[in-house]
Amino acid sequence: MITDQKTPTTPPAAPPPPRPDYSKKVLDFFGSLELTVWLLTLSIFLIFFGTLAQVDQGVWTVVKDYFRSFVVWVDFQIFFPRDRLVPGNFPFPGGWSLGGLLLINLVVAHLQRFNLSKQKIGLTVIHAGLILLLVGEGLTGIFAKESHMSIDEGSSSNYSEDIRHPELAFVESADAETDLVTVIPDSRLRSGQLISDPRLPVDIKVDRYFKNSVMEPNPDGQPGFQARQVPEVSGTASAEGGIDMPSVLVTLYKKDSTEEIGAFTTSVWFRSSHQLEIDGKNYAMSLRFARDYKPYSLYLKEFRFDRYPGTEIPKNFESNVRILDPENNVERDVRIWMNNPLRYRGETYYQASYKPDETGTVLQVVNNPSWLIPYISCVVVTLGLLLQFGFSLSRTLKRRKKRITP
Amino acid sequence: MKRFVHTLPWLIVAICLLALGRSLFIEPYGQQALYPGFDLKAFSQTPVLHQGRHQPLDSFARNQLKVISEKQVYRGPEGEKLPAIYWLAEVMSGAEAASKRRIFRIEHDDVLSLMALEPRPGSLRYSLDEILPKYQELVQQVSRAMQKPEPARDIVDIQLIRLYNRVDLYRQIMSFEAPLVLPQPGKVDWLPLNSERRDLNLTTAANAWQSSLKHFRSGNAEAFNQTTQNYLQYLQKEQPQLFPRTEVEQRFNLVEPFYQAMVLFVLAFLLSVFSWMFWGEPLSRSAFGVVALSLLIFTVAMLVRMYLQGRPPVTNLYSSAIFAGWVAVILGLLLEWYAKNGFGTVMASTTGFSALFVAHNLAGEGDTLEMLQAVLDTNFWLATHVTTVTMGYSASFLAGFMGIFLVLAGVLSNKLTPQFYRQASGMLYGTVAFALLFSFVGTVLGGIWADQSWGRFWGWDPKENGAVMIVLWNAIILHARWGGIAKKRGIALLAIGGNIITAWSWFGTNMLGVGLHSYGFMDKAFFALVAFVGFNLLVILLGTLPEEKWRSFRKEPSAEKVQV
Repeated sequence: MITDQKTPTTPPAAPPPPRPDYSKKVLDFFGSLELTVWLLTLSIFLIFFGTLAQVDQGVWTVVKDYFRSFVVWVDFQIFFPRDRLVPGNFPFPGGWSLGGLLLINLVVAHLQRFNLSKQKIGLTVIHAGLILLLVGEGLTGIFAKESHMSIDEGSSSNYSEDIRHPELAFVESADAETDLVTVIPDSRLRSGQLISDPRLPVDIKVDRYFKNSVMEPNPDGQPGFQARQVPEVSGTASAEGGIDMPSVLVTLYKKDSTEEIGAFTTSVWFRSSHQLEIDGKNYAMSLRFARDYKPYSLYLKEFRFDRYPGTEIPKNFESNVRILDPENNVERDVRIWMNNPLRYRGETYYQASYKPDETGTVLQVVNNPSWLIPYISCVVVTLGLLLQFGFSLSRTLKRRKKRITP
Repeated sequence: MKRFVHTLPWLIVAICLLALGRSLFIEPYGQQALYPGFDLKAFSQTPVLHQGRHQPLDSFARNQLKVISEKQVYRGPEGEKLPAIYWLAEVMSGAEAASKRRIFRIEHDDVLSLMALEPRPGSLRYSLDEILPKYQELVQQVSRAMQKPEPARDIVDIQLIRLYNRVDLYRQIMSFEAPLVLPQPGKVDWLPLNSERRDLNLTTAANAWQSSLKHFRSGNAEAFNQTTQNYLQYLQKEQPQLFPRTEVEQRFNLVEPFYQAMVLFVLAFLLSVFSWMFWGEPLSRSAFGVVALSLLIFTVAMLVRMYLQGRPPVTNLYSSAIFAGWVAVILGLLLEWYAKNGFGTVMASTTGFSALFVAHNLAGEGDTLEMLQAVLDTNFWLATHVTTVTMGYSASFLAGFMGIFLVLAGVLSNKLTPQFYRQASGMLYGTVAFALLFSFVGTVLGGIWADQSWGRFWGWDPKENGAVMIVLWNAIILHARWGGIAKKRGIALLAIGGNIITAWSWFGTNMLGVGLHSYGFMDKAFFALVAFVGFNLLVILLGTLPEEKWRSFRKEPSAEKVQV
């Protein structure tokens, strides 16, 4: 389908040197506009599939599978109503593949056709801005970290939780001062998996792992709860969206043996952990969101949730906090509200959500070293588009004037 | 003849102006046979608070009737059309006629048979008296349906819940729970009328309301008018900040400027089409004049909405359709100004009409001037990101409509000349370039807003994905043209494809019910969307005929080319 015959860069062929220049052919192919059109078309389809898939899967699962992957297996199911089961899937190039090829296409095309004439400079500027945007998005994908910090009114917090990455933690109290913490990341927590590691005090069989779950009272009337799997939610946790609350059912075995210690359910819903005694040592086992400790803390003075009079429509969410940073000798009050985040020591705090009884706030904490890149590239591309279209518009109008006046 | 060319356009525009002026100054609730002598104009201006917004009673009446009946008017005993304020006065005053008014819209056969009602084709509306005998059953069915999780509910469940909500809304109005009508001195909160019902010492406001309603019920027009007008004057003194806003809004409701603009667009479209058959110049100038007048009304109406809301033009799905239509009309008129071949006028009138038609159908959920959720409460981003991205949508649709026009005119008629085709194709290209510029800038501004409000420039949310799909599609069209992959016909077909993508990203993504942007939820529109996509695919299929097979370009000796 893709040919390089029409590529405008092909120089006027000198008569018959029929020896094919393969490297040039390859370059022409990678720099061709046909390739651009094909890649953009495939990207549209990928984005469309990735949108449909969000009906069943959390957005972060989709981002990982579709947009930050080389190949994605698209289920046929996403095209049909969910009450009709449709099996099977098909492979499709993922975001890294398409984005990477587009980047190559762009760079090659510009190397081949680099031109700073008045007619073309706009195009160069636009595409330079686009490269910046793509690179920025790639860097964000690799380096950006998002987590949540919840604080109750009148108390303070010095850590944030990564709500997308739960971990199974074994905490051993080594002495009064320090704890020894061993964690298993969620990527290892798959149903049916057997986990055995010298750093762990036990061998673990993961019986069930629910990415999102609810807790229900035991159906047989016994005390306690049982976990039930529920569909993933967006996981973006704005004021409206929810977050996934994972649970895991594990069976613990004595190290390198088949002797069973017991079966446990643990969940991020639980505030307390399971207390275990293994080989004379005490451990606390719990599933929790990965924590990131800060060298400073935030004290929540007040959380406000204003509504329009006579309704439940939210008008404003707002946290009044105090930054306590003895290291830098900082102690000041700040107000964090919708669309007005706090930027402090490389991290940005956004008003994201609140405790159900409105006595505490949930702040989204973002650490993204490349956050400024999109701003720059937006300005660059906009300038380029204005230059380019402005130039061709004025040319058309001039031509028209010439046509009318004589 | 020359005289004719100049006078006809002015004549037509003048007639349109007269018709408009009549609707501006005519007494709104005239002498209706049903309630002669009642000053419902003053009554409908009375400010109330509903859903956090101060509004004239007229808006409340219209919006609630729209929720219940899907229309802003209802039928009286003789089948005559009556304004919503009559209905509200009947319900609130407890008039006996109220429960006989056929206002509850029920369409689904299963719901009808559950309520033991006969299908009533053409009207689909039933009175409270007809619903009440089976109300207990409705409540049972609804509580059963509400226990199911939302995705498991079927169409009957949804329709039952809707009917229940409609009856409940009626109940709230009847029992004075809504709207909030009693201002509290020195407080932002207002109270409903039922909060003071059994008090002996009524406040001025409650007293005025109670006696107005009593007089309405007893048919004492004079006393009703006196009380209502006195109360209005009292409020003007006590709550001056509400005036003249509520009066302006009531007048806006009465004039229905968007409806007027729609009528004018139809007229302009017909004039343009006729101009290709006879009286070319005078008719096409008239069409231009009518569209310009329509744009004027459109602009004023949008400014009034902005004044009422104190916001930039786009705040919800409804107003995005209005604004998109406005932009498309301006672009169409600019193109006409530049090319003077009638193409721009036709495009302006069809896109303007379509946008207003879509907006009209989006207004079914009630108040179109609703208050904004906390995250949207920022005039800066509403004015920049939202308007820019809507302009991008608008231009993409304009380009798509141009494509449809070219294909249909080329394939089905013999009126498309090669010269016109070339010119129009150039205009199409310009529109796509405009669309790319605005959809790109709008999308990136949206990313920056997202970065400001939840710390993520890009979150792969359905709405964001939709926006970037439009950007990519416009980029494809331009690259295909530069690469010589698509010529005139190919560009037109691609632009029609842009209609599908734009419709998806504007409305389709809201139907998925996921993501941070799903603020414009709707269900009925799904079928409209499918029909629109199907129509566009059909036109694309038609356009895949090679150009020499198109009726306009067939080499027939008899084919007479008419300059359009």
